[in-house]
Amino acid sequence: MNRRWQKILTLSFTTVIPLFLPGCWDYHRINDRAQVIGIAVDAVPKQPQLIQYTFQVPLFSDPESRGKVGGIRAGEGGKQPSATNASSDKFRNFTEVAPTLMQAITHAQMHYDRNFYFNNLESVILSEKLKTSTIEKVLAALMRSGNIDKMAFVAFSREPAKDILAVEASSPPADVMERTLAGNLKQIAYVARTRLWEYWRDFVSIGVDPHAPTVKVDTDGNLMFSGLYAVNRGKQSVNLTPEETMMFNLINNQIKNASLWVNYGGQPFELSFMRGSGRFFVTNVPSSHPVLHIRATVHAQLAQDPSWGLENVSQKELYQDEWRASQQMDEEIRATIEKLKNKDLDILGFGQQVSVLHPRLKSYIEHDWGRAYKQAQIDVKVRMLINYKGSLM
Amino acid sequence: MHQQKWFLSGFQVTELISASYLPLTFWIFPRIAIEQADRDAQWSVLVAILTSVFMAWIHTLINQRFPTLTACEYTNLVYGKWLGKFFSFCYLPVYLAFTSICVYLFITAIKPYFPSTPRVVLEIVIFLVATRGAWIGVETLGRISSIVHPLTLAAVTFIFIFIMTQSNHFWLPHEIVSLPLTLKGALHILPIYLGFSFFLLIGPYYNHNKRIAKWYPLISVFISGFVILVAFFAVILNLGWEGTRTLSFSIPFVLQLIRIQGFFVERLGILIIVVSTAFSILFLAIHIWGISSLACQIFTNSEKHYKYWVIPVSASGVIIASLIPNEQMIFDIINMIMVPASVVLLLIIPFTTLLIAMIRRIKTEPPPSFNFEGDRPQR
Repeated sequence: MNRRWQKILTLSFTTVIPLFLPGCWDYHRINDRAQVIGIAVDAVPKQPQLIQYTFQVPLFSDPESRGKVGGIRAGEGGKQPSATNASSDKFRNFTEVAPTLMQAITHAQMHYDRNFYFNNLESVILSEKLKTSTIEKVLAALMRSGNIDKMAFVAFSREPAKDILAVEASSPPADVMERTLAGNLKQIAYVARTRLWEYWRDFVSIGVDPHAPTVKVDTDGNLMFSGLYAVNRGKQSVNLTPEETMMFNLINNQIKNASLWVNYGGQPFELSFMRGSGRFFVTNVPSSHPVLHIRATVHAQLAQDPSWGLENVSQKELYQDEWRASQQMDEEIRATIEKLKNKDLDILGFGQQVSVLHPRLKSYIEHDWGRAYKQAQIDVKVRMLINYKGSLM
Repeated sequence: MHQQKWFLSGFQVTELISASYLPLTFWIFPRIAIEQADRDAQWSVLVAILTSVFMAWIHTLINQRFPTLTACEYTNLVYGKWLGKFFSFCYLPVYLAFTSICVYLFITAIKPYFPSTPRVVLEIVIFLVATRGAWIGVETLGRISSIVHPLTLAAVTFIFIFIMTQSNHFWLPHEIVSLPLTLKGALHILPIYLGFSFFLLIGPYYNHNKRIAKWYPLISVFISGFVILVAFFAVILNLGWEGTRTLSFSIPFVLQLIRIQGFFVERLGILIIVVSTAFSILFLAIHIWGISSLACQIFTNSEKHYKYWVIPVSASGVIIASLIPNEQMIFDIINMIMVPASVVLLLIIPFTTLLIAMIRRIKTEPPPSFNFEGDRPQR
């Protein structure tokens, strides 16, 4: 083959190849997609085999033409939206009752002229009324699909989850939830943040129970994220208050710039810019009375001293304040763990740690940990380090 | 006997070897390890890596013993013509299936990004480009490997270390529960090294007189061992033991958990995609060349006309990949065929060959060292 023909063949080959480039097959106009950013899951009364799914789709176009395609509001096909489907200038919700997630999506697609697309899912809201078996079914469906974003945040709601996605805010509620929990906020303490894959991981793991924050609508009609909700396979559940959640977050190294009002043993004072690190371990296993050890180190600034800034605080007084703050936190951590223990909920993962570090005890954790955990003793040590810059700036 | 006019450099040989294995079970090996060894999974990964060092050492000794011969030629010398050809032939069906399965798994990993593209189109495109690579020959593949593999290695190592540091807890077992389970796990991880036999085909293409020559495969398995460990810990520490067991494709899953944003993705994102695709195609091209070259040697006693075999080999690869109905069948093939095949092809045949060659004192002399600077090809 001479060189000329070789060149022609090479050129033909490289010209033909791009025709088969896979990217072209998958080209979709962004306007043809309905980006589902939130999913709410509710129980259906008296029909345990059915689940109510609500899908939230944001509307991106300008207010004049928002939601309109060719003069007709998108998804309505010239009709008014159904009573169950909430909508606003910023989003549209589609509610469907179906036995599975895929069935619900197929049904919802009948109401909208754009393809539902789940790769940008931001939030999943689960009703606290859902049974554990239903949560398991929903999680499996969400995890199995390769096109659903596993980094979405999960939250539980005591009110119907559908109502949470219907709240009017500066942006769609699913978006508000994502921005609140994504860690962009300066102060982090009173809410536990859990992504979809983390919730699923804890759900399937042994020796740990899954948890997620709670969301509700406050008296002003805004979304409020606080505390945490945990439920286990034994159908025990617990709600931690924001203050208790702060202690949980402290052990889990999830505290940043928090503030604390110390009221232990007399004159109260305030700590700010608090950050902490914690660790835990279990001893005396396997036995019916294991010991749960928790160690935490907290760094904070003295924001408001007992004299309200009128007098300088001496080093001796600072040591006393450190001791009082650590005692208070010690008690609060102890009370939080006791509350979890009484409900047989190991959301920190004491059992998981034992089963991983000591694999021979895996069977003990699987079968006997629930009973042993309830009777476990608690050993807490908090080390508080307070920084003080003087009474006045 | 080969009279080479050029040699691959040491770096090219190391990179060429490194690019010839891992993809078979890299996407799924953490799950395999946990399924087979439960809490001893990390020990089985470690045992598999140690086994790979032994395997690399045997392969090195063979290549050092027969520096001017390729696989088919020295097996003929050691076992005789027909038995030698039979042993060489054993590699062909396994490696054909192996390349097709690797392509299928790679497409499974990238399919979420191309949901509407038919699988067969992706297969044809990948095989077309790889065929071109195999057609050009091993010298070009060596040069491409020396660019693509280090970049892929750097990106993979960075990403998995990054994912590992995202974990909340760094809990790992401190003790071995069951030695038999550990060994069973290691056995099932061994197919990750399938492809390493390619090293036996490139004996005549590098300079054996350099002292470092015997270290090329060992350097390769040390590096890959490090990557395997880092990837394994990144998965285990983030997904936990039960989570990893539940997921079919644990490695692609953890890769979804990072959202590298800002400067890095804006500047280098496209480079990462290009490099990872390039690596998979390079891997495929290497094996198409290897299978074609081996087939040519078996049937014509020379690898001179290997190009006649490149297109039939690629076409067979596309057909086999298209015949695979689903991922579960691949898992079954890996479990039932690739595990024993990897023991036979990576350990038993090379070890027996070396042993017989040593007993019978069969050896070929290395070619005289070229008198030029470094290992640059002599033009």
